[in-house]
Amino acid sequence: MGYDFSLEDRDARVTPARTGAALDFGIELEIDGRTLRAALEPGTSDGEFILTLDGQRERLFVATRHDVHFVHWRGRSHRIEAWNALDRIRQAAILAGGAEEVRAPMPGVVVSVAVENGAEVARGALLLTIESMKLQTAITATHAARVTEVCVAAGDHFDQGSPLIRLEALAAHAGEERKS
Amino acid sequence: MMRRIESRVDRHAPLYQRFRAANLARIDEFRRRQSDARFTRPQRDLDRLAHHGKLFVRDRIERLLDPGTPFLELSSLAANSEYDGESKSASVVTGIGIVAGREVIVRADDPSIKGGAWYPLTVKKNVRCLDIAIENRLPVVHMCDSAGGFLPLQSQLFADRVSAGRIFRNQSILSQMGVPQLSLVFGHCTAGGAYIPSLSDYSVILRGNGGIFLGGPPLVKAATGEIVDANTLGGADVHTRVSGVADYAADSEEEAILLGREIVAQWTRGEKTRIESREPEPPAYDPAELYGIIPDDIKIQFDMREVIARIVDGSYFHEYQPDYGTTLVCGYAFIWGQKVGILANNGVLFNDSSLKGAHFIELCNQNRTPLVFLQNITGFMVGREYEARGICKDGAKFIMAQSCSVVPKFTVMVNGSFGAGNYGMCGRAYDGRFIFSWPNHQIGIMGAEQAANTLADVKIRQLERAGKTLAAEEIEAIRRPVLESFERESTAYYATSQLWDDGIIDPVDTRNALGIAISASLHTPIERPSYGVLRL
Repeated sequence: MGYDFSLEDRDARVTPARTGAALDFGIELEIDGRTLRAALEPGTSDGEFILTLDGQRERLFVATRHDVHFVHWRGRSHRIEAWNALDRIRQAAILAGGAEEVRAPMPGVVVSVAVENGAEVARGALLLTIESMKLQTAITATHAARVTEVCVAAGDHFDQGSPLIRLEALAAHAGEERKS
Repeated sequence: MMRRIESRVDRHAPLYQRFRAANLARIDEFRRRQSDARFTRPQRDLDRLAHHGKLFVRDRIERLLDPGTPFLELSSLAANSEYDGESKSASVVTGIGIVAGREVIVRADDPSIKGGAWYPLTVKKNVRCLDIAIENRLPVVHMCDSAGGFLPLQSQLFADRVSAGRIFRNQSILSQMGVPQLSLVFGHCTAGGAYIPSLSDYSVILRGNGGIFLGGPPLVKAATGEIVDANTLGGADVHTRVSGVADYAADSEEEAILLGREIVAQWTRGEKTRIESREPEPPAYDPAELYGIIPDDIKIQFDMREVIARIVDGSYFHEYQPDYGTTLVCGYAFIWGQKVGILANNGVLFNDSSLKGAHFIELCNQNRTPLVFLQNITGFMVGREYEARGICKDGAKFIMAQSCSVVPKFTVMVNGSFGAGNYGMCGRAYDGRFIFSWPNHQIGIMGAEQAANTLADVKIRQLERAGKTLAAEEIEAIRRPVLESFERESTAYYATSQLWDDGIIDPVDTRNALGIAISASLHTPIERPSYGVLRL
């Protein structure tokens, strides 16, 4: 088990090392097959930290929004995104799965269709609205995707389980503004 | 406020060097056997795992545990002397580790041995694992991947009090106690095995390989004629969408494990019992010197204070009654910052040492101090003088005080453990929380030579009554088989094979093993003792 990040567009995994060394300061980390001894202490001003990496002390500044950290270090700004390992594995599975059919969760009627063939949609984007038992339900994309087929039109009736729309999974950031 | 033990070990002494060489050889053998039990598998079995896309059991555990945290594996050499050594580690891996910041006990079937089938000692190890969970209120993570009971030996694993049924009984009791359990179903859980996820509070089942059913497809066909495939009968989608037998479905083992970690993270951490504690510090003397302290011959005495000095924080020790009953060293120390009362053998148990031990146990009970027993004991003293002084009743006091003790107890088999000495010093029958053994450990109802001589003596006297005498070689013919069976069955490896302990450890790891064990034990509150301290 390790912790996954993307640094700019590169993936990185950081694992606390099991060297068994007794440390009085910081922790040992394995990054890209190298073992580093690292410690991070808060500095005096807001967002300021002192990073000690293999004995060398340096100052850096960090601003955080949700899971994205902007780190200003050695005169450059870096974007580091922390990944939840479970999210990551599910996204990979969706991408590997490729095509997906969105099926009707219950019988009903189509109120409106929000997308057309070939459209690229972000996770959470509205695909279509259906109505059943006097309640309208928004059907949204569970991940970034391209619409390959819209199977229904406004006013159509459908049974539970019938296909509404067909999608093809896209990489996480496609069709979506980068979270920043 | 304690004084440091002053070590008298001379690293340059010839005897130290001799012992060190002998013990390093023992450690080599231990490591070789342990590595074999952990990793050596027939290629055919490894190929089958790979074919099914299954991770090796140890990789599953590695992914489950918090990165960089320790794992105390229990009974890694269980079943080493049985079933032609086929059932490595008794076909199941158990141990205490940290998942999502919580101390849990892991119980993981090993599908690389006979499809993870349960041998009689697998069942014993599973029951022991869940006993540990009950005694220490440790949440359990089950990794289920077992073909079920090993049918050729079913009579030894099915019907008795601590046979397979005890696993499910223990699971139920854990739930009643409010101790959570999670099952990750990586393979088939058939028949009895189906109850493991079913009796867990949470379960994750793998699409494809995972399956839970009371009767598998062949049994269903035989019983009712119904023809059904495993996935339709009890696959992930049936159980997470229809039957509700399992809670979450996962597409890969890695995903199942990550889900499992997220589930464990939802569990409320129990309050730990407070005992006296302080900042930990390493022993002042190098634990590796233990190799030069433990003799190469079980008959050679050594000072157990030298052992204590290499296990406890700062080698600090407050010795209780240093001038009374000197063959039992008693006193207070800290292990990884946790206060303990230590009882350590420095010779045979006499009347006074027995009384001192009983008295010290009562003090620790009043003081809410866990007990650590360091065994190197040949027994209670025998002979006319000691019987006349009532060694039986003084030994009984020691056994009584120890049995009825309410604080957690831990035992380390440092060297010998013979006769009633094993009882007084918290052997397996006394429900200590954990027992760890060193590779040089020997155990038996009496020493091998004493047993051989006793049996030969009985035979000689029988024949004398019939007017016959035995020649030297005839006496030897009686002695030899007894000697051989005693020697074979009194080794640390035989003992751990039978689960008379919770595993053999390298002596230098004793402090860490005890540290984890004591910490785990504090999930259970300590009751008040029912008597004051009787000055014996």
